[in-house]
Amino acid sequence: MTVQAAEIPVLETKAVTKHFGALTAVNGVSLSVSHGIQSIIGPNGAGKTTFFNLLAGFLVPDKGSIFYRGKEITGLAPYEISQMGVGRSFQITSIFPNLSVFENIRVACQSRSKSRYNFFMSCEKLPGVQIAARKILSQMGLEDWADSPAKNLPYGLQRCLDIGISLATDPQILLLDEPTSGMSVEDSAVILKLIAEIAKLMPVVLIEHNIDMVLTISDRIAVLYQGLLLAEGTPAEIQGNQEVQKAYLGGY
Amino acid sequence: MPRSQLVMLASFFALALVFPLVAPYEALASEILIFALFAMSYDLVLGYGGMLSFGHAAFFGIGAYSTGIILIRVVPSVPVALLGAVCVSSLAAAFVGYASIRRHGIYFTMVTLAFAQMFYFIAFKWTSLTGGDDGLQGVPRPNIGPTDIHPEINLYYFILALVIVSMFIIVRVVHSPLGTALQALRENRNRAMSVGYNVDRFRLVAFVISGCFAGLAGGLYALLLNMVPLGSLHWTTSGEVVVMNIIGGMATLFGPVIGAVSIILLRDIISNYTDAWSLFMGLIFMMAVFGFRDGIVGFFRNKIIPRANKILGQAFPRKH
Ligand SMILES: Nc1ncnc2c1ncn2[C@@H]1O[C@H](COP(=O)(O)OP(=O)(O)OP(=O)(O)O)[C@@H](O)[C@H]1O
Ligand SMILES: [Mg+2]
Repeated sequence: MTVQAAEIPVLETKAVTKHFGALTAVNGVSLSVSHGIQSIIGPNGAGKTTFFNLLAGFLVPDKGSIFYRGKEITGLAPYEISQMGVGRSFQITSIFPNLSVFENIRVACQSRSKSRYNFFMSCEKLPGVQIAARKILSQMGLEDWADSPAKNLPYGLQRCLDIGISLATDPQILLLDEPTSGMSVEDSAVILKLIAEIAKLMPVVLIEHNIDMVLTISDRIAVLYQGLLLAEGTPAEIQGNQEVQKAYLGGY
Repeated sequence: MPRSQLVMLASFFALALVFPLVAPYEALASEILIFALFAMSYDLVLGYGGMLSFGHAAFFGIGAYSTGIILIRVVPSVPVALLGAVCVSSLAAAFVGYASIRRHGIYFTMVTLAFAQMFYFIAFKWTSLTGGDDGLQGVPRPNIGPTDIHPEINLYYFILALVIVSMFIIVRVVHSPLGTALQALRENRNRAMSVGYNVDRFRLVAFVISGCFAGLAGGLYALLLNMVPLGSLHWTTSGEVVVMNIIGGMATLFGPVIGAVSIILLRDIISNYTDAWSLFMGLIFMMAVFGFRDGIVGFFRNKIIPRANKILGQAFPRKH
């Protein structure tokens, strides 16, 4: 895909930096995402998750700024950024363990309703929410589990539910933090297919460790190394990059 | 509303109708109802909101004092007094909630306790308004329209009517968008934030709703006793409502009601023999925490009912 110069990116960072004490976890990273799958790779502790936490408002950058469709969102609360249209999943599975699988998704859909503060009507009467939730449930292949508590799901399906919860908020861009981590090869393939489907509808920022997978699925790849953006480009450019080879890929 | 909850509510109301006939004395039946409402209102905060407030006596006590003061000094009208009590205690809950809701865990608990102690101290010192240590004496029971609520049995049914309406509203709250969001953020705060919930705002609204019904319970308590004891604001009252929730079963709505019935009955029985109620209270609390963490309702739901089903299933196997 070619990026037009005049287009406003969906999500853009300008030189964001985050320190944890003496450690600089993210160091002046500028990145913009417009469409397709933008992967972020890098060794353990490179600052990938921290970067996501900055994008989603869970952390506030010490320096630099973040823009959503050209609007500055630096310092906004996570719920505000989510309401604007940024969806995220978590590296460590993050679901509502004691709620039913259906309720996990339904409550996420409900967050888009104007009546979410209503405390007298039945939540089942919210227009559209039940239907939207069922749709996501079947898209994620979780119908058979609808009424079980989410904590009873097998691990792989919990990862699916995590993504489903993010999708249920009808996002404009999706941040996925190692969605296939800890999954079997077969399950990973299912998830990847799903991600490719999602990426046709909205840009996806993907943190992923499996290099083979990243090289095939991504439209663009950013390489983080000790908090620095080492390189950014198409999979072919990244593969051909000497520095990346030295620091990270090691022979790929 | 799930059918099982409807059945439970219906049987509760059926029992409540005949309760004063079997209770040791009518005022005790009324007291049980009042604490059932107080405990159920607290379930919104602890069970559904996951907030361990240790200052809920404040809203109960403020409701009681407001009712008493309005009846004595402003206008001898029960509806006006109770409405006033509900407004004042909701305001107090909004104030305490606003100051405490941003804290979490033990810090939240300590801030709520600190505010409750402050209200206790004010009531203790402001003798001209509250009667101080002696409590607020001489709260009248003016007729409600044509109805004389001096007979204990009449007051009981008046209280029952209000408690039924309140419980109906609380059940609605739990199944509302706000109530379901509240449970989601109790389950996983970060996840709730990341799907777009303003966590603190939901917690605050739930806290205020809870304070509102705690205040109503307090107002009814003032009517029942014809006075307001200073102890209604004491931290032990906060502790009791916590215990009622834990031994009854949190986040079940029905559990706290069972907890309230058990605790008040037990206190009444034990107080015939000894003054060491707090000792028993402590023992009950430890039993609840170590023995059956899901409370009486959870104990039946998780242990007894499955086991009974299994035994029944073996005794009367289903035909295929
Ligand atoms: N809240 C925090 N407080 C202090 N240090 C932190 C915090 N979060 C992350 N770090 C540190 O910042 C660095 C970057 O962490 P981060 O989780 O962003 O790495 P990552 O690229 O996601 O690694 P992984 O591939 O293991 O998930 C690490 O050294 C980590 O220990
Ligand atoms: Mg990470």
